[in-house]
Amino acid sequence: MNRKKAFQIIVTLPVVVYSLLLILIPIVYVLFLSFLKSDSFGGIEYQFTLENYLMIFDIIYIKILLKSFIIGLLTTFICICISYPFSIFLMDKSETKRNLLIKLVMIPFLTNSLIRTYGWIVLLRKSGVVNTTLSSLNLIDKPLNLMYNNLGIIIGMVYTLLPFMILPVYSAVSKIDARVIDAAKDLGANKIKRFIHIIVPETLAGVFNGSLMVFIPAIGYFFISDILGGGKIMIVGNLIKNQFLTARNWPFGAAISIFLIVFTFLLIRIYKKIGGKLDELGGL
Amino acid sequence: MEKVIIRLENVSKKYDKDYVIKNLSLDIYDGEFLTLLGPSGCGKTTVLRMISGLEAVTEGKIYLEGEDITDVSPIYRAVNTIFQNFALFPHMTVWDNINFGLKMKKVPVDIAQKRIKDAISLVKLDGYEKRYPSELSGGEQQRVAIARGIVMNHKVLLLDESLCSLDLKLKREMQVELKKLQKKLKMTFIYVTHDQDEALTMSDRIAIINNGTIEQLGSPREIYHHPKTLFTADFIGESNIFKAVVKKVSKDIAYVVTKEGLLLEVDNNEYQIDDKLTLIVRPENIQIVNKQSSNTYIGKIINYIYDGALAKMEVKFGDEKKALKVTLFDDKNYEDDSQVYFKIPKESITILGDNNE
Amino acid sequence: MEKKNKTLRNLFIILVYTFLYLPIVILVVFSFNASKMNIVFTHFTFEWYAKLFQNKDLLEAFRNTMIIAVVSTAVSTVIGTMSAVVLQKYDFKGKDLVNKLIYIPIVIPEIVLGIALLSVYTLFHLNLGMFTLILSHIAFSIPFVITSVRSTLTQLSPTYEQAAYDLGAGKIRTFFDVTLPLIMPGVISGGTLAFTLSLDDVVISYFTAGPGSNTLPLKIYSMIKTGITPDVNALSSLMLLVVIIVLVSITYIQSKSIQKRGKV
Repeated sequence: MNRKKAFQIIVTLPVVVYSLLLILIPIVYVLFLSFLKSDSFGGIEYQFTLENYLMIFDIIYIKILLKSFIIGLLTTFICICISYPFSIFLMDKSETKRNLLIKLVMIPFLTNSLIRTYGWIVLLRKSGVVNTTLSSLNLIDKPLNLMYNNLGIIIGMVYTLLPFMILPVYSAVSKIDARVIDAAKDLGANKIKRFIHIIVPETLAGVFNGSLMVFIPAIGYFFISDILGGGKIMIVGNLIKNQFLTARNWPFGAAISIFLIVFTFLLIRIYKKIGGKLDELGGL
Repeated sequence: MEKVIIRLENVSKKYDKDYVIKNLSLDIYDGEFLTLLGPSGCGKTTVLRMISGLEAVTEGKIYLEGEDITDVSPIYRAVNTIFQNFALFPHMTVWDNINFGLKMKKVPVDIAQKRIKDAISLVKLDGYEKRYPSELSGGEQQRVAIARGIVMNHKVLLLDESLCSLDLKLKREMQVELKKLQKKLKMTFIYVTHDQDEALTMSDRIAIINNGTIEQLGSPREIYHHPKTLFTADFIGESNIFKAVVKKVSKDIAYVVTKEGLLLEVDNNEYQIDDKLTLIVRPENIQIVNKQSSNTYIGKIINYIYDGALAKMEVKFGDEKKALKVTLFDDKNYEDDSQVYFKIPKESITILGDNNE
Repeated sequence: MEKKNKTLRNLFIILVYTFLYLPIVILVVFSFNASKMNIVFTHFTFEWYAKLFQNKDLLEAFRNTMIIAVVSTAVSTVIGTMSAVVLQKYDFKGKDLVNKLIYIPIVIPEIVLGIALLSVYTLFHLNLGMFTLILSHIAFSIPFVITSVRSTLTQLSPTYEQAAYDLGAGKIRTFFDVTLPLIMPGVISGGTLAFTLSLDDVVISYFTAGPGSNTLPLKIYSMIKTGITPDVNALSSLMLLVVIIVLVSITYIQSKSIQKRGKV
């Protein structure tokens, strides 16, 4: 009996140590930091303050937050608009074909995202592939501004995060019983009605799963806004990065991070409310 | 006196606060085929799992050949189970599956090989050694599961609804084969099922389990012809059940009147007037006759069904609220709505005392 | 009408794949381009691949990336698999908390985990470098392994383990002989995910890398800002090739073993 207990403790230890040391303590420490004062030299004063949280509501930062949210929402929306028809159209194919096609969605995502983002520079810049192609076809007179602006960031975000939407949406769509769709057809529902009354309700949790996995990273991926926004456009990710590495105001950076965590937890709550499962998040 | 191999002594099992098994005692004899029969949720599988050790006993003792094994882990118990869905290890070949238990017991390789070969030919799977379970049919998988159990040379094999995932024809074949195998090996088989046909065909004895207790224990014949409780009568085969009151007694015969108003003669068993009785009559014991005699009434045939071997029908009688279930083996055709005399022979009536609610 | 519809549908699917593959194809194409500018294709050359093997910085970053990915994948696959099994089988104090905590790295923005780890490393005076990088990669990989293993574990019927006990196998024996082979698909896909996440990671590495511990993504990130030479294209193409080979072989091995053993 004792040996059994000892064995149990030994095998349980790693997961407990891991979750405390590398998850709980870091997060709690960030929470702790967020209530401290920063001095002007990038150090920390051990004095309680709510200043950092109040600072988030400064108009400069509110603007950054809003901008990030809009970029995040737009990215999510575009990803949904691509994933739905894509998944539905894929259902026409045979099962082996579908499995192959879904694998093909994952492959680019498994290669380095920076490298792929760099690929977009080659495509989108003024002297890039898209512009030179268009002008050699005499479709444009002067090169289009496709990057170093919001458009560039959104293209980059959609590109980087699209698989996270396609996979859960596809898996939800593929689980719909084909006979249900046939029954709806039989009862006289046209394409749009079938989409609204059957496909959407049946896939809601999948879409929300995808939305979480797109929206949350999208407000944090500073490197995409850095590279394709030309460093002019700040999203929350850039803001936090700057507080920790350039401005060295850790407490403020910590406060924004805590704000993001709380926001994320709220979204997860909603996700669970509509019947989503935690284990399906980020499951690829 | 037969030798007891497994003894359950006042065994109880509690989940949270509810008893699933209450004070159950049962002696299982060496070499018998015992079936635990009951509806789903009655606790029969729990009994089996307590014998195998996969379920802990809350109260009571379990003995194997006189030795208390109540707290022995399933890993060391000298009994083996054939699981409901066989639980063959999908990543191992037939050979490796059968070898698994021997490997665990560190049986020397040469002996193990011989035993595996014997087990394989016993279940007629020669040539299948290198196949994986997914390459086998349901019946073949069943045989591998059996071989994996019997190769251990233990005295007791536990079978948990082991045939219920097979289709009907295969099930019938396997029933016969299982019974033959058990006879040949002289092993004790403890079989759990909710299927009464299966229980009646294969068992030496049947224990009817209901609500965590043994309702009746006996040979298939006893259980079928002499049900001791209403539950058994109702669960095994079809029955016509009457509530009746004793009106008059003579030396050998008691005269009773059923709730429906039938006056019936039954064997007297020291009944008193006004005793309340429950009468049970199997449908195949009711006769359709030409002329009126004792225990004979007139009725109207409804729902006549003929299936080649026998004819099933219902006969409405009296105020036509109640219908009797009747099964006939003769080939005479009856029309629905035709009037007939039906006879309930005195000898075929099983009587339960009024303690049955 | 129906036919036209079908063509439109296929066209849409093709467009999505074009979008997904265009940047990658462009990179590969330009890795064979003689011109130093990634603008017009002049003529075919292997020059950049040759140059690549003289670029010490890039090669070192590549080496670091591979070490981090291999070590962190090995550690997180072992711990993650163990954790998934333990969390399913045992009850212990604080299990609910642990169960909640392990989802945090999956759901919160990576940058938050990055700065949180950086803060704690600073608190404990850990020097940023290979060690902190590996630790951080383990930190974000374990939850993905756990969820992946758990999904196969919950589908696994408990009767396999019971059958093993019934046949006399002890707990540890049962785990290695029966449970582990049966949950292997989950372990492999969890490990693959950990490996690719590690190869790809920019955000968390950005905060937890030290001066002497550049990873390839970090190196590329700084090069993008200063100017990229086509040897980066060459390296990217090579890495792409590696990932594809790894993926294809894993898929092949899995499909073969599934064919043989049937569905678990």
